[in-house]
Amino acid sequence: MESLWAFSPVFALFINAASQIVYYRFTDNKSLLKSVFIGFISGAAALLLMEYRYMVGHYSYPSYFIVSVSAYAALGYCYFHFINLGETARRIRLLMELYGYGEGLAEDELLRCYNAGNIIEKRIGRLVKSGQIVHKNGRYYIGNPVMLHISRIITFFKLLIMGKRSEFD
Amino acid sequence: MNLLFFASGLFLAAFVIHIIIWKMRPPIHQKSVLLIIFSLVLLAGTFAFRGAFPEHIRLWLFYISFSLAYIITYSAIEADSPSLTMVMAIAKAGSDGLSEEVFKSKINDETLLTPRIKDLLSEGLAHVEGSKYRLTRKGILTASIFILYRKMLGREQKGG
Repeated sequence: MESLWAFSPVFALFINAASQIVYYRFTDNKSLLKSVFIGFISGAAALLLMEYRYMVGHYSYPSYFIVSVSAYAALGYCYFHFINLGETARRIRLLMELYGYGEGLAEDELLRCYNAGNIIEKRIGRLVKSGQIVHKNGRYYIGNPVMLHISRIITFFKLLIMGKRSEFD
Repeated sequence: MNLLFFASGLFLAAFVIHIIIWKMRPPIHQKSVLLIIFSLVLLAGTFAFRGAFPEHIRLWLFYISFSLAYIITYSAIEADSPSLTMVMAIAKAGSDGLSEEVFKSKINDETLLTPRIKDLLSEGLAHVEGSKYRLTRKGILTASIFILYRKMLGREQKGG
């Protein structure tokens, strides 16, 4: 039984995913981000319930609790990234384009299905809508600098881990 | 607190080993080497940890979840994100802003997609047959997972 309780972060992750999918599928207001948040909270609530049932009488519990909650948070983060990959990752989009063509696609055919123009249109649209960049008189300017700060943090980690600012360096 | 300190220390050890190797000589197949490093450290930790079987399970879950979270984040750091590239290019232009023509010349298929197509080949997700790109079994499986997930959500529009 103790071994089973140790898997509580995994059970909580299943509840996270199930809640997220059900919420998104069956609500009219299709907000993917909101569904991710609701899924995460549902899983966290389930985890707390499971851990509460276990904690009575276990003296080394505080350490177990922190380990379980941390593991669930990390798994939740992984699940969020899985969803994000499906939404924004170029490799995944390329795979999905190729999936539809069993006989394969030449590079120019592949780029006709999915290209820089598609990517720019989507992302610029998002950045302008959120105010991160401003489009005025045919020129782009930085608006709200949140994304710029995130870019700088990621560039710092690239330098720290990979020793370069860009994959093209 | 023994379990928490051990699990945290184990993950930190794997991270430090990874940074040391990367500083000495970054490997070509970076994600594969990351998986190997984190797996070997987990194996060593499993033998070193003195605890009951349920504690081992908690240790593995903690370590594996943090390792996966790091490897996923690493993938995001490794490849230049288009949105962040766009923002940095605009920021570099300063108060004069960046014209649409210059913007499109910097952000094109060569910078955004050609490297990702090459990644599909190097990661064994696709191969070239004649002049055409075709998915490998690994690529078909990976694509199927995402297509199935999108079907479950009822999400028609493709991502990217």
